[in-house]
Amino acid sequence: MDQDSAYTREQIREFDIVGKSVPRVEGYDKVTGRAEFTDDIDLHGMTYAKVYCSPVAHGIIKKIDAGKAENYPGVLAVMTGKDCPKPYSVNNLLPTETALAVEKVVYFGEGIVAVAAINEQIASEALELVDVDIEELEPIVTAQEAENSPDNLIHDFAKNNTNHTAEQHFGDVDDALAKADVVVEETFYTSSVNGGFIEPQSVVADYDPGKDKITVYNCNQLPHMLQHTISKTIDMPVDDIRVIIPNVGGGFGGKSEATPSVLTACFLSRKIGRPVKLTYGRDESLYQNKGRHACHLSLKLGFNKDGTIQALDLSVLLDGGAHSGWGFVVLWFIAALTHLPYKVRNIRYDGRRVYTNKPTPGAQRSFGGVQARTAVESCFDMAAEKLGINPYELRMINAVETGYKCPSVVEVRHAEFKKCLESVAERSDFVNKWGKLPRGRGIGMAAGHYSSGGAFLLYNSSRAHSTANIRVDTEAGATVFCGVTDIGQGSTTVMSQIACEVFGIPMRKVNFICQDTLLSPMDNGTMDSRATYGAGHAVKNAALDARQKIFAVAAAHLGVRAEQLQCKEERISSIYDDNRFIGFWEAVSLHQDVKGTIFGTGDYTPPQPRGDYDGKIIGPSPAFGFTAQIAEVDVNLRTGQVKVLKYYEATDCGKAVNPASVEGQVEGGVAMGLGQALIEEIVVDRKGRVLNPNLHDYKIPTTMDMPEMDTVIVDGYDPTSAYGGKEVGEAPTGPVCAAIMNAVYDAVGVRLTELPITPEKVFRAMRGQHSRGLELETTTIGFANAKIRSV
Amino acid sequence: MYLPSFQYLAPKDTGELASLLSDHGDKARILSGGTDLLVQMKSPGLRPDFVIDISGLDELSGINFDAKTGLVIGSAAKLDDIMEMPVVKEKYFALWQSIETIGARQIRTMGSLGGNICNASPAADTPPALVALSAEVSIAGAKGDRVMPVEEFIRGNRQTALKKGEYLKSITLPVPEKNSGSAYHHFRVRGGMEIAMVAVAVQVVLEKNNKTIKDASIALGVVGPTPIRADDAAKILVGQKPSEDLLQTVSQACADISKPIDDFRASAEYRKEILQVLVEEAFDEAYIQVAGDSK
Amino acid sequence: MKQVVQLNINDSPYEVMVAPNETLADVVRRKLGMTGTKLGCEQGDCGACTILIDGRSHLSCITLAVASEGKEIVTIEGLEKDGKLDPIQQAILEKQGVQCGICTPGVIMSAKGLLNENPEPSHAEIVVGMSGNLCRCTGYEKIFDAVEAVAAGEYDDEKTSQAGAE
Repeated sequence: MDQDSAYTREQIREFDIVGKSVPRVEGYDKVTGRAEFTDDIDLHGMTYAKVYCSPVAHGIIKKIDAGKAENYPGVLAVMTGKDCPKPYSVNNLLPTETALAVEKVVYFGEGIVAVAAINEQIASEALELVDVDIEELEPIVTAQEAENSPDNLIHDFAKNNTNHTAEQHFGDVDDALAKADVVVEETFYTSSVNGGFIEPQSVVADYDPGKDKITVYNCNQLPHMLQHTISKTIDMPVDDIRVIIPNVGGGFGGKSEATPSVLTACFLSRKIGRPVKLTYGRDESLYQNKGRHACHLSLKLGFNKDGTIQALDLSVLLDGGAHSGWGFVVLWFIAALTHLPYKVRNIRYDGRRVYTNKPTPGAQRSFGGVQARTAVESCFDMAAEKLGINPYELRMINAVETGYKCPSVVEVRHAEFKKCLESVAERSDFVNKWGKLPRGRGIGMAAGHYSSGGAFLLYNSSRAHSTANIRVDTEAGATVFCGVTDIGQGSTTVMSQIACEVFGIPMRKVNFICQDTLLSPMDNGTMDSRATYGAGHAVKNAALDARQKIFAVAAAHLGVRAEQLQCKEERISSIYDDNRFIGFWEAVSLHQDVKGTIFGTGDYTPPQPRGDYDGKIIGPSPAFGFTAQIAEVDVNLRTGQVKVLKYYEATDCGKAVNPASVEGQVEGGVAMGLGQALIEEIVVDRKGRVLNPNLHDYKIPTTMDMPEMDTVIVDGYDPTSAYGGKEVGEAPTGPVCAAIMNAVYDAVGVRLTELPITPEKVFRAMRGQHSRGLELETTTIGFANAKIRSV
Repeated sequence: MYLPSFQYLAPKDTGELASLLSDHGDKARILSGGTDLLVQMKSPGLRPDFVIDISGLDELSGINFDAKTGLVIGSAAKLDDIMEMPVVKEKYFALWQSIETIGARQIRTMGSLGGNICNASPAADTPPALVALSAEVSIAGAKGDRVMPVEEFIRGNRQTALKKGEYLKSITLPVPEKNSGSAYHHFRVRGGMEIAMVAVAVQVVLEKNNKTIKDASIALGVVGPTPIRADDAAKILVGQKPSEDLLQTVSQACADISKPIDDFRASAEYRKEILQVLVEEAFDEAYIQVAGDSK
Repeated sequence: MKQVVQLNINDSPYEVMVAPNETLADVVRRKLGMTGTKLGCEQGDCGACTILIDGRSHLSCITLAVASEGKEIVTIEGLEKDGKLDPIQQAILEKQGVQCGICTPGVIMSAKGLLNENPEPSHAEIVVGMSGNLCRCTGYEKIFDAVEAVAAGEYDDEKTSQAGAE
């Protein structure tokens, strides 16, 4: 919008509400218990569904006898996979997932039969009367087995159980490695972890037989994509499906796909003509997973003596579980997230994702990032030691800066990464402490970045990634309609702040209508850290569009050119003479009298990547957030237990629109990384059974696991962004494992390369022993790569 | 996640409790805090027809200390209430530590000591402490009361000595000898809301010189189906002054008699290693309580 | 066999027909429509269902409703009085100890129980005292800040309970 350039307050980056830690808009409802989550919904005539979960990971369904369940008093309908057999997947790539298993079971806990009844207890009791006969097949429980079992295919079409492959090569890696002064090489295993949101997935499907339409309430991050998935799967036109997202009790990427329960509930509701609620138990939530991909990485880095990085050669094998999910995106994202935030020109990537009979992983917070950072940041420290350069210096030497163009089409339009590195190093006194702490105490550094929304297209269309509409009138104030989903990260608050800033009105004058496909325009949804940047642009553009119309009226009234007007404190005034003003709402009222209610619209689509190489649509982003982190640990020399004592972080998120929310993202992101580093893992036995489908054995960090945190938002403003802000939701999670692993090495001289770094693994590594491997009937593979530093 | 159906019975006194138990026997389970029983009933398997709630019985909720008989804790006494008794921290520190370890505040508010014992989980925190402190349980039944040491009461994984119609009445901890100290040390992977991977409780009694060990008891937890009373290992300490070598011998002896399981949480081999560390740490802490810092 | 029980919840008497196997969480959520109490695991592992019984924190997902007669039960809905937030609610709101909000009612009730038992807990006591409440969003820092602020008396005065969006 042109007139915005006359808005001098923005030019001098002086804001009223942007940059303030205003409390969450919906916070009052959340602290009083008023906030409604999906399972809290009660509709007229509500019925309840429960699902029979497969007791085996791989098998042929021979017979299902649900007769007794069907006749059980209070049961309204019974459903099996054959009732709703259409497969689905993200973007319809290799669709294999179904509402319930059809003929074959491919993971432990997969739904086989569903029952709808007048209450939950009857539904549960009826399920106990279901008899399912399954011929068990040999389950595939490791990625290596998947590749080496040509005769045991999980999906018939997938040779060698391959789901996706990816290759990229920029520059000449072999030549660069041959010429490099120092080459480091290591293999890593990053574990399978779960989102661990405290709200298990829940859905209410409400079919209206009178209109032949369905309304679906579901805790999902991508309402519009969900609408499309439902449409394809249950054969209803998209516009007959209304998706409403109530409050979402944590998402972290795990709620960015349709769960089978959504389709089951839709089918059942249509069958019985009544609303159906289906809420997963914690066990089912873990079986459905969509958490982080377990990944085997093999990485080579080459450096010159001066510390400049010359080459990066990475191959990865992703354990894809039973289905596709967001797997193709994760596979390419690892490629894209490996070489930044460092200036490396020769890059080779070879990635494979295979099917296994395990819960399907998805796109969990910092997807691709945790895997890439764990390997790269560990190897950076290994190289630093070989080069005799402090790890902090080595990162500074290679750190990207504003304007850096990667050999791919990825471009970094704004970066304060070096400030992040400087900030944590200084605060922690890293240079003086590293390598000098007493044995058992260590300090480790790692860094990373994340994209603020990818350029790739959902829905296979060229539609805008975000659209916002705004209605301004004296009857309702400013009402923003936008498709972005608040999953707890605070997008509703941030979007409201942006609208307020444009109009110069207080927060209470803004209504934010989102998370409802009937009211909110189409949006790619909350994923890939795109909300603040992408949807923020759309909201700002919509507000500017509306403001232009208000300014036209104000300009005529004041006798001032519209380009010379500004908004502040509910007044529209001349930028040259503050006394020439009209009340904001008075101007709105004038507009209404003459031209009616004011409507504004705005949208945003990131620049589309050029270049012609495979995977180019995944990785490029209009903006990148950066992070630098330092962990100080204590390693118990007798037990191997690692305790993180203090954690330093510095974030470049551009301008923090809501600093307290930014800190919250960083602290929560670090906590999630710490969980993966030390205590979290989905454990699957030789039979493919999940051994820890509950929150006492699947261990997410408690208050007593958290170190003292010291986080700083470095000064920054991304001029390409709506108000200078960019992502912070994912970058902080990426490097945590590596920072802790590097600190453990500094403390005890052993390099752990497998997550999680349990006390037992550290203990064995300190003794130079290999960890137990598959003989324990778990898929936690033994680490063959513990490197012992001579002390 | 619904509980299976059952009939709820809340006796008004222990007399009624006894008659309900004799009527319903194996078909009944006693509910005290619910933190174990109800969780187990939510999983497939445990389906009692009757649940008998003893949480309202004052007769079973008392916590009384007497300088002669010692500490008598009613089986339904809440863990938190026990912890808050100053005498528990003062004289039975191992018990205090073992309770502090359990779950989180909510669990300790709800759970009872009797429940922690009768649940007979191999990973339970209080039994090793009680064993090291030579606690005895009183069992009430139609044929009269029986008294036995905790280590005899817990018979196996989820098995106790309770016979049909019997219930656990109270737990008695004798007054510790002069110059004695105790400690409970456990190892866990997560900082909070965690069950122990290995646990050790130690009680030591020192001679008047506050150096020589007069008597000691050691109990090992989570390294077998029941707490193990390591008497032979403890005997090694008697008459000795502590030294690194001595403790290593003792901890090795403890490891030798332990029978830990191998599961996804940890290997048996590693549990034995940790056990030795805990024996030494728990001993140190108990010893220092009496002797002060100098060994 | 269902029976009528008298429950005293948030200072009001409720007469409810319940079966013995219904938990207090189920009854307040489904029968009484007080859905502020949340369920995260239903096995006593996450603390989202924390409520106060006779002033102390309990897990309502493993508490029987029939066993709760005659006790003083307080749920998250009972803290706010006449549109005025309890200090701990106000502090969690202002310090941004709330993100997705699913653990928040349990966190608040747990903090309330902690402060009932120990009105001025130290930082270490807060860390231990809140360990029964899992939060996946915040990393707990801002929850600590809020409890500390209440303990320090920052919210003692009659603060207004406006949602404070400005």
